[in-house]
Amino acid sequence: MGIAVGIDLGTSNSCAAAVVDGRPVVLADEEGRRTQPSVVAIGHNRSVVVGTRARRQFLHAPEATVNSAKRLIGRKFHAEEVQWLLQHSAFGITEGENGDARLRIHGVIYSPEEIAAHVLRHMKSIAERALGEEVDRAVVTVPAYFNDLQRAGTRQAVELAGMECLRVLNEPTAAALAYGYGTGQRQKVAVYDLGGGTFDVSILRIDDDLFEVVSTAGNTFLGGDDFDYAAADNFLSMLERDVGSSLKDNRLVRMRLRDAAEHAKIALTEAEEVEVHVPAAWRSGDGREHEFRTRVNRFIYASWTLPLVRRTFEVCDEALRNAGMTTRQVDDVLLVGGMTRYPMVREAVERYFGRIPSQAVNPDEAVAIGAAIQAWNLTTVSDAPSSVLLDVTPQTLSVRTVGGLCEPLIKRNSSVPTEATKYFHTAFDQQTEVRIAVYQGEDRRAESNECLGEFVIEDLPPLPRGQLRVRVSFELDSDGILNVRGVDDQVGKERSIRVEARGGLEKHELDAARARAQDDSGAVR
Amino acid sequence: MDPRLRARIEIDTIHELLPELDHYRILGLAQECAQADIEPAFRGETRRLHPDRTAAGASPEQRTKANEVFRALNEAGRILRDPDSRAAYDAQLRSGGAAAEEVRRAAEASKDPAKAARTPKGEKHWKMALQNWNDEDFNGAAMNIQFALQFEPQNEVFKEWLQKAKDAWNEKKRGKGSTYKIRLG
Repeated sequence: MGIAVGIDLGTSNSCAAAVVDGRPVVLADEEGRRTQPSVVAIGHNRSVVVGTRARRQFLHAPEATVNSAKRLIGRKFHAEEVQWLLQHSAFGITEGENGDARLRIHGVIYSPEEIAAHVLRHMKSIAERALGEEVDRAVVTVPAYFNDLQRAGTRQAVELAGMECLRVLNEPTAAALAYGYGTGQRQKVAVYDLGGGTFDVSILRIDDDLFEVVSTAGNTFLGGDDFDYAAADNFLSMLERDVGSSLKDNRLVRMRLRDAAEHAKIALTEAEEVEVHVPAAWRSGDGREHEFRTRVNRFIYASWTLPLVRRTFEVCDEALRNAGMTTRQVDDVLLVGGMTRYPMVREAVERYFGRIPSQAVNPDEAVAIGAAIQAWNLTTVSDAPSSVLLDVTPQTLSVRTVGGLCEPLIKRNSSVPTEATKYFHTAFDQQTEVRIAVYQGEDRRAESNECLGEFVIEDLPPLPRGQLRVRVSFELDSDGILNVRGVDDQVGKERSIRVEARGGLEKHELDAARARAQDDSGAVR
Repeated sequence: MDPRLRARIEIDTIHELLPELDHYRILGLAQECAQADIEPAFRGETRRLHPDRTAAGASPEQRTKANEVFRALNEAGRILRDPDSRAAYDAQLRSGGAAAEEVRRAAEASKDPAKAARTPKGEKHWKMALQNWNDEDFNGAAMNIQFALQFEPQNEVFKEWLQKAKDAWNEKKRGKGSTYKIRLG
């Protein structure tokens, strides 16, 4: 049997780690790079390039370069977030048969899971080269606030990449594990995780080898990308003023400015002020090239992105409130995710919590290291110290009832594995079928929450309304994978679904993706 | 013995006993234990019995058992770690045997909307409200619940359903009538 690794599948960058001789290590590529861009470039002949090389291709062929597949995993095409991405990306996004978001590149439809699988396969091969052994199992991390469909989609991506998915682990929990593992401490920590596309905050109680998540909150569409888009929007206004025409619908211009914004952001971690220069930002109708040039300092950049930073603290407020804690009761603050490298974010977090955040973990690597430790925990039988994670479900799980309202069975921040049962009655005389629709989210109205799936119990005996009772039970395992069972009282008809099974791809799509994965395995990446 | 193997044997034993174990016994505690004893017991049992501890090399059946045991342990922790829910649980245990069943039924009945009313006048409007609800006349239901609340201002069930009726009415007004045929109750 091969080795089990931990993979942090990030929106912008991914990182792999493994426990070697009892110690967790990051697995670097041949050139010593410890993280890889989560970018997949697809050629006209469907050839696939992943990572650093794909990142380089971005400016030449943005329409065939996917840099944020993670943002689309497990999402409906009509979701607000997907529509937003549609406005901001050069690659095509369309609606799949089941209503999920799909990518269209050179006329071929891909699922986000399939694109993510390319990144994961790339990480697998880097890990195999670094370890000199086959890698066949992985713990992969997701934002804590991911719902069950997004988790199921991620799991599917791991399997498409040719690995057994041992566990879908929450990123902040993984980071806390990297921080506290083997240190024997007792304290409460807050993990502030601002990645490329998502923001999470988790409050954990660490008691030696026991890591208990007290509460978690997040926003799966708030991250470093949004900082770049915010800065790029300002660049666009400036350029429009310079050239005197509207460029809002020009994707290529926006891509170039977004790229410039990202470079400016990175440069501002070192410098107080940077010059932004895009030599050929726009070619006007008469064939003239227009350059874009401006100077940005930290103060201006901070003013553009302040609303985004504020939104992260609203999420922190929520997590603390749900934990019944104040910032004073937090013993240490961990910063995770590439965005926390930026001084403006660091300083804002320090002000919010009233303490200097810990330097003990590397924001880019902690999540992968935690995942590697958990992979080791789950696969190794030994007397060496291991750790136990007690995680929570981030969003409430409910059943839809009359009037389109949600009746909660498992409340958010319930520790998993857990189960819950409720009874429901028929609403009409002679009702012979009952539909159980499962939703996830905090809204009272079902339509505002995410529908995880539904099933129907049919051929029930016709009885006056309220006479037939259906017992609905939810079982949530430590992966966040939900089993729902419905049994009626009269004839004992039982129906059930596993949310895992519905996630992501339809059967024939999955087969096609698997076939393509086979084809690609010989191709150069 | 390998601690994981020992844990696996323990999980098997507890799994067999699950139907007989109350929340205290699954944590290895006595009912009269101090509140301060509960947290360490919960953490200790979590450390030993968490499914992840025995995951390596476990068969699917062993994993299922470990998950079932831990769900029971988790539920015990949830109830007993909070002094209020522990007190309610203790009351239920004290009444013992058949009496406990009575308590459980009474508790269930108090949650049963049909038996929520406590005064004759409250009940009259409450019944009308339930009838309205079943006819999907949510506005009528909301009005009748408001009348019922005038007689029983403290009735939590009424308050909860008033909100539900209002939400359902708004839902219906927006032209998205219910297509689902189950209701709580």
